[in-house]
Parts: sequence; C-alpha cells; structure tokens
Amino acid sequence: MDKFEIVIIGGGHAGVEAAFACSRLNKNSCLITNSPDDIGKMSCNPAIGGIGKSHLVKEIDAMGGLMGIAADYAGIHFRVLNASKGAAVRATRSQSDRVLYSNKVKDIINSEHLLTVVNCEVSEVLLLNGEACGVKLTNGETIHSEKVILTAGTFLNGKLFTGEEEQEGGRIGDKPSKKLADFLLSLNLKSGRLKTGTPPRIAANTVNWSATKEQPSDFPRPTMSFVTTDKVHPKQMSCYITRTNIKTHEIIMEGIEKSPMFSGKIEGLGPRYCPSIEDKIHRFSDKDSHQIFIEPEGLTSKEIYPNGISTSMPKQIQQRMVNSIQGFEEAVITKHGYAVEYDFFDPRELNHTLETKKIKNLYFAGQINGTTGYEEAAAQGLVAGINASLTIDEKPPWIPKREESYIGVLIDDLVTLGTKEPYRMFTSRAEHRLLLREDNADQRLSPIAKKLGLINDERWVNFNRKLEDIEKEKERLKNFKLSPYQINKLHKKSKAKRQTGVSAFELLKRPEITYEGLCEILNITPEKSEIALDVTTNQKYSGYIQRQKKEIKKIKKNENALIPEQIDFNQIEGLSNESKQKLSLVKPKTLAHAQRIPGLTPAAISLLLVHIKKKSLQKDNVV
Amino acid sequence: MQNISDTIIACSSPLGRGAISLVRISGPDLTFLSQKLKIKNLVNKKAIVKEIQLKHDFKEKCVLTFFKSPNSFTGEDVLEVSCHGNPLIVEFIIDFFVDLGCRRAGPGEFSLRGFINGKLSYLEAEAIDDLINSENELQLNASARSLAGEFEKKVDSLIDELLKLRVYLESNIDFSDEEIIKDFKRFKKNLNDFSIKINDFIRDSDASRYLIEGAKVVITGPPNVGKSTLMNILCNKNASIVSEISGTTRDIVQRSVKIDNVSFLLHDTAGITKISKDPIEKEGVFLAQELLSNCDLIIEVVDVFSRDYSCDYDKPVIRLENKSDLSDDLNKKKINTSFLKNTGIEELKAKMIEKLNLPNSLGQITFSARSRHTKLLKMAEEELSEALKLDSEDSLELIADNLRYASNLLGEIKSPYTSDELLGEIFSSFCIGK
Repeated sequence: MDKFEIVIIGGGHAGVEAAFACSRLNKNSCLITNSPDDIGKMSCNPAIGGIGKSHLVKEIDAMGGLMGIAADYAGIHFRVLNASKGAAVRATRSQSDRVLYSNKVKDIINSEHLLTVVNCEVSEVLLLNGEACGVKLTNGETIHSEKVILTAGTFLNGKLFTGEEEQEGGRIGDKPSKKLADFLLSLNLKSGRLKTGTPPRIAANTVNWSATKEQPSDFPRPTMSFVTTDKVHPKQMSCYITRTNIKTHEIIMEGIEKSPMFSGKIEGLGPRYCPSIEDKIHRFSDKDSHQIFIEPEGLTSKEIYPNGISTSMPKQIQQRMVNSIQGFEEAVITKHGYAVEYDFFDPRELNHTLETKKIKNLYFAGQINGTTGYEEAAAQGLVAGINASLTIDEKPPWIPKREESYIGVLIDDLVTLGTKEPYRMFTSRAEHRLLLREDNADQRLSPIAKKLGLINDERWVNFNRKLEDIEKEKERLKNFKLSPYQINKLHKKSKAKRQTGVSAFELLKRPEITYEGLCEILNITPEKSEIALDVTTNQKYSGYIQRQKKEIKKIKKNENALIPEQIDFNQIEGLSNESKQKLSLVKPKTLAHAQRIPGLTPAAISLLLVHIKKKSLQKDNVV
Repeated sequence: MQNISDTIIACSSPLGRGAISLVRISGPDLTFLSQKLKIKNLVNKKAIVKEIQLKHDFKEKCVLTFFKSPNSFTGEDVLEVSCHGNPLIVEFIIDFFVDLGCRRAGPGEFSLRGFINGKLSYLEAEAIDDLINSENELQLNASARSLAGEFEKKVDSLIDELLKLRVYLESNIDFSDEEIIKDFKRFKKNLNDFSIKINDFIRDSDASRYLIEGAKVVITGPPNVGKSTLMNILCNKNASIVSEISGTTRDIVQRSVKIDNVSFLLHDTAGITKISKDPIEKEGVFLAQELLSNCDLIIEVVDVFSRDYSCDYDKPVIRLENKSDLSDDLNKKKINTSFLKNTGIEELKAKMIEKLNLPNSLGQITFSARSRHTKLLKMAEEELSEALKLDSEDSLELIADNLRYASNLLGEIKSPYTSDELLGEIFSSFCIGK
C-alpha cells in the first residue's frame, strides 16, 4: 500500500487533533480507523469544556486546533462556570449536539488535502531496528510511514460490564482492538487497567420536565473558540436538574453486590472525581441525595444524558433506580449504563514530546496514556501531531511549559508523575494558575503557533488587532485622572481622600473598583468585553502576576541545568534503590524536572547534582 | 560542593588537652584501612586496642571502634579512633591517616553525609549543631527536644492544617458546579485561627532563637546622648561579655550579653544616624539601616536636649530619655535614665525582656529554632495576613495563591531548597568533625 509521512491510529478526539496538526504542518498523513463514521464521536457525555478543561480547549484553539470550533458549531447550550469568581478560574462549558459535533469534525478532517482516511483495523506497529516505521493492518496489508501516532482510546483489551454481564468492546456496539493490544503488550511497555463508565440513556419524551429545574444557556453566550462568534451556534436548548433520593439509594444498596465494581470483576481504578452512583452512595453514605444534571443529546436526538448516575448495575436495577428519581418516574431507558475497563500504558515511559522512550518514532496520545476526557485527549493529540511533524522537518520539538499552558501541565504531569486513576485536568494542578487564563490562551500560545506554522494569516492579523486594542485601552485609561470626589463616588470606603489625579488604570487595581463603574463615572464607552476583561484582570492580579513571574525565573535556572542524556542513574553513589528506580523510569532531562518527581528527597536531588558536577569535572579534565 | 565519595577525617572532640580525644573517619569502604593497620577485619560496633606507629618514632595506643555502613552516624563505614587528649597527638594521628589516603574534612561534612545518606533530616542536623553549641540547660533541653523531632512535628502539623484550608479553597474552585460545603465565613474564621497559631509558633520560635542565637538589639539615636555608655553599662553590670568584635562592621560595635538567661546581641550604631557625604559614613548609614530592618528590638536613645528626635521603626522599640538628672521635666512616655547616676537601668532591662514577648516560662520551649526557621515562618505569616485582607469570595483564586506560597515556605523549613551552593553553605556553618 501507500507510504505516508505520518500514520495516526484512531479517529477519536486525540486522533483527529493529531491528524489535523500534521496536515497543517504539511505532512502527508493517514488516519486509520475501523469506523470512519465515528470520527469525532463523543462516546461519553455530550459536553465540551468545564473547569480546567475549557482552558485546554482554548489553548488547543489558540494553537489552531479544531475542538473549539467544532464545539461552537455544535453547541446547543453554553454556560460560564465560576462566573462570580476571578478570571483565572472562570470556565466555559458547552453541550454539543452529538451529530453536529461529529459532522463538523469530519468536515474539517475531510477538507484537509494532505490527510487520507483509511477504513481498516491495525494489528501491529511495524518495527525496523527497534524503531516504528509503519503499521500492519488486519487484512494483511501494510502502510509505511516515518512516524506512528497511536490514539487507541479505551479500545485496547476493552471490556464492557453491565451487572453480571460482561462482553468485549471499546464502546457499546464496537469491537475492542485485541490484536493491537496483544502486540503492544509484547513490547514490554509498563501497562495497567483503568475503568470508566456511562449512565443509562433515557427517552426524552418519557421525562416529566415539570418536576425538574430548568437551566437555560447563559446570555451573552460565550464561545469555545477565539475565531468564532455566537452566530455560528445552532438553536439553544436548556439543561435540567433533578436529584436522587433515599429510595434511589435503597435500590442501589440492595443490588450493590451485583455491581461488577464491588463483585471484584473490574480490577481497574476509576476516576475519584467522576464516580459511579453506586460508588458515590457507598463512599458518601451520610448523603441522602446527589444532583443529576440532565443534558440534551442534541437537537434531533430523542435521548437525554443523565449526568451523575453513571452505573454498571444490572439492567433491572438500573430501571428501578431511574424510576425512583423525581421527573423520571415514567422514564424509559433506551441504552443501559455500563462500565468499560481498558489497558493504558504508563505515561512515564514517554518523552515530553509524547514519543515513547523505548520505541523511536512511535507516539502515544489520549486515553491510552491514562487520561480521561475529550479535552485531555485532544491536547495530547495536538502535542504528538506537532512533534511528530517537527522531527520530520528536523526542527526542535515543541515542549509546552507548565507556566505557559495547561497543555504543558498535562504533559509534564503525565510523563513525570504517571497516574493511578484516570487523569483529569483541574485548575489546581497548575501552580501558575493566575497566569493561565481561558481568555488569554491566545496571548500565551498564538505567537508559538504562528512560528510553527499552525495558524493562518487571518487569525494572526485578528490576534494582533486584539493586542493593539488592549494597548490602546490601557493608554486611554492611563490618561483619565480621577478626582478624590469621583473616587469616593465610585467607592465610599475608599481611603484615597487626599490622593489627587490617580489614573483610571491605576484605580483598576483596587478590588472594589470595576471597569464598568469607571466607564460610567468617566462617561466613556466601554471597550469590547474581551479587551476590558484582559486589561482589568491584569491590573487586579498585577502583584500576584509579578510574583509568579519571579518564581518562574527562579525555576528556570534549574530548568536550564541539564542532566546528561547518557547518565546512568544506577551509578550515583549513595542513592537509595527506590530513588534510582524512580529516576531511571522518568529519565528527567533537567534538574527542575527531577525535582518534580514525587518521593525524590532533597538529599537524592543533591546527590544527583553532585554526580553531574563530578562527571562534568572529569570530562573537563580529559579535555 | 565537596566530594562525597572519598574518606574524610577530623577530630570530633574539642581541640585542647584532656583525658581522651576522638578522631572520626568516614568513608564508603574502610577495609583499605584495616589492611594498612594490619587488622584482620573490622567488626561492626566492636572496639579494639591498637598501637599505631606515628611520626618521629612516636607510638600511640588507640582504641578503634568500627561502625559498619549503614549503621553509623554518616551512613558510611565509620572508624572512631580514641587517643590521649593532646592536640599534638591528634595532629599526628590525622597526618598518619591522611598519608593512608584520607582527606581532612571541612565543616559539617560528617553531618552532610549523614543527611545525604538519609540518616538524619535537615532539621535534625541543625538540632545536633544547636545541641553541641548549647550553653545552658534551657538551650540544651530545647535542642535535645528538637533533635527528638518536636520542632519537625510542629511544622508538620502546621503544614497539614494549611493543607486542609487549601482543600476547601481548591474544591470550591474546581468543583463549584457540584455540591460541596460552601461556607466562606467559616473558612475565614479557620484561616484566622490558623494565622493566630502561626503567630504563636513564631513567638515561641523567636524565644527559642533568643536562647540559641540571641536577640538582635540595635541601639540608635542622635550623637552624644550616651549610646556607647549604655552599651558598656549593659555589658558590665550583671552581664557577661561573651565576645567583642569591633571595627569589623565599620562603625558598628557588637557585643553579646545575657539578661535573665536570654542572650542579647547589642549593636551600637554610634554617631551615624545623620546623612553624610563621606563615603565611609554613607556605608555606615547603609549598614545601620540594614541592621534596623533585621533586628528583633530597637532601643532609641535621646537625651533631654534632643527630645524632638524620634524615628518610626517597624520593629519593637524602647524609647529612652537619658540625662534625666539634668532636667526636672520628665517625659512620662519614655524610660527616663541617667547613665551617670545609674538610674532607670533595671527598668530598661525588664522592658527589654518584656518587649521580646517571650512565653511565660522559657522552660516551655520545646524546640530550638534558628533565624532561618523564623524568617520562613514570618514570610508564611505575611502570606496569610495578605489572604485575610481579601474579603470577598470572588478572590478565592488569589487567597489560594497566598496559601500556596505559605505552604511552600513552611515546606522549605523542613527541606531547604536544594541548590548545591545553599546546601554546602548551610552545612559549612557547622563545626568541623560533625
């Protein structure tokens, strides 16, 4: 068969983002999937974004990715979470029409001329001298390539569980990739099992809506992408809220020993923060009610997605449980909930580029690395796609930094810490959270994207216009000086009685003074909300931002202290065996990276340092 | 930083004459010594008598005690050589072993190896240093308890408590759309309580630091009011001069005295408060200002002729008015003294103790803290008071940032940032032979 520069296995959220990045970087690439119809399919709930996750989406968008755009074209419900809190932790959440989402993704993928979609299943990665050089298909054919990006999701040795029923599969109605899984296991990569689950789907026309609480879309509606407006949004739908009750909990407790999670059938660890309903009731036995968020599946869909009651209980228990909930008394289940257990590979065996350390030219992205969530998967796909392309061009890799993006936090956490449960992004994972806002993702990343050739001129021009507008607004506010009388009028408790001529820009730093209030008292027209938000937030955060920048500088020093690539951690004198193992697994490239490895004591780090210094001294002596 | 894989040697007992001196040798493998000493094999924790042929035909009968790695203070092989307590003999013995391939240890190298080999935590290493330098029972008790982990436990419990506060914040930020307890008022109260706890801990740490290092006092004021005289009075009467360093910091004279078991390091900034163009004096003013911002207590001395002189300080201050014998009109807000007639001195001493805000009984202090610790604690406390100023729920992410810094600072007490220079620097403040 043909030869491509890059082969991407899998058409999920990681796969499409990887393929799209390769194609934007002019790589002749091929996306292999065994069901092209399912490209961009949302296998779990039909939502994109949320706290920490929307930051990833905006960053992917700033790098020219497709997730944000698809979410806007398919978005039937938008809300800003943490709206009452500061800008850094505000997050956009959108509900998508599943069909529109998948269609938009397919449109984007299909319009890329350099990208070929192949409908087949992969059984093996071809190796030559221990390096990946293509794939073998189950029909016996082979495809050669310089790089292989594997995004197999939950399909590796996937098993589905409903009550005591067990079947093989990666998603309901889909076969698992067993041959590929067996092949990968033969490569001696460290692997483990994880699980995740979905709730039963319910026929929308059997829900008593009047017994639930409606939650309409926000107004004005936010967007997930920097290049769209709310004009591309389709018709909007509401979400609804209901709750479980004591009766529900009783039904679940009765059948709990039949749940595969408790009967010991499932070995994999599930996400702590997205537990199944039986898990929640078991763990928080003091609570007699849990919230259920009823999400619409789409404009034409006849189903709803009851978020919060993910379960793998036997079918008849699911039915009784659902019917015990207010508003669901007459509800008919269209698809039962199930748990899926799958193989993942220890991400500590990956470089920051997502290339595996053991097999050159082979990249892993998405759930296969132990993450959960579309956004986390897409971000990894982007990183793998970009880096695979850059190495073909013999350019230096793009390693997103922790202080620059959530993508950087995600990648660094994965390859440094590994994971025991499905990894999900939270804002608290980012130590430089105040710098990494949703609304400034373009300022953080678009210049990089431009340099790498990932975004088009139109976007670049618009981005620069935004920067100019921000500067202009800052200048404008600096030129307005307020009298003490005006300041007092803005804020009665203001202590600035004797202060005269404080600029509007300076005043924005005070927590009690708002941009809108300033515009009103100065009788000036406010700027566009994105401009106002940026100027205001940078002023409100200014002390904190300066401090974080200082901190980053301090870390940089150690980030620049390189650990020689050929180092043998086992030879470091005095180091405990445990520390040796940890270092040998992660193979940190810089001192700062080594410091982030959990459980490495300061003493171990100093030994490492002494060792490096000694070696470099010896080298100098030889020269 | 030093080599950490060779064999080091130093005298571990105090230099000078005595019944016995102890020379300690530590290295990854000391079997080479047993060959050279013609001992069949060194047995763990066993002492043997051995006559060693030293320089100039001098023979010394020594007791050799061997500790096999990892069961030693440094975690390496350790050989302890006991000999007669004469500095010359000690030198001979060290020379003898240096000839066999040992290296003379630098300050703190034994502790550093113990730390690196996981035999003692950083705080323990510091406590050992304090224990050895203890001059009275209070100090001794405090540092012994520190060594037993009292201080570390206290720091750990603070870190734990801070973690709980952070969990509240982070879950309110990351799980705001789910149901979690949102009680900002209670959080603020807990934060405030925690800040009080840190303040108490700082007070105790300061007190313990005064025991170990001494409280830093700066005497300041206009010229010719009697600052130097005050220094002499405080040092001569009921106080012992421990050290006198003059001229090392230009015009700043430093003396150490003890009042009621508390050490004070007095700094006299005589005659350098006025702004001067003379570069040497300028330097002096700069140093004085440095001192004023780094001290624990300030004594501002004026006399009845310079009553108008008064400065603002951000440290505890005692204001004295001297030469009270020359005026009938006394300033009730200040302590009135006459250094000439020796009046008001006891009142001043009492005030000096009072201003340090010590706990009721110094015996209650269960740990030894160093200025490194209190500095970090105070920085953490500042973060908390910044956080307490943020009064609305929409600043949760900023409060969280303050608490993150506070938590890092507390963590740094336990394990100082491991840049190698810093580590070397910290251990080099220890004596040789430890």
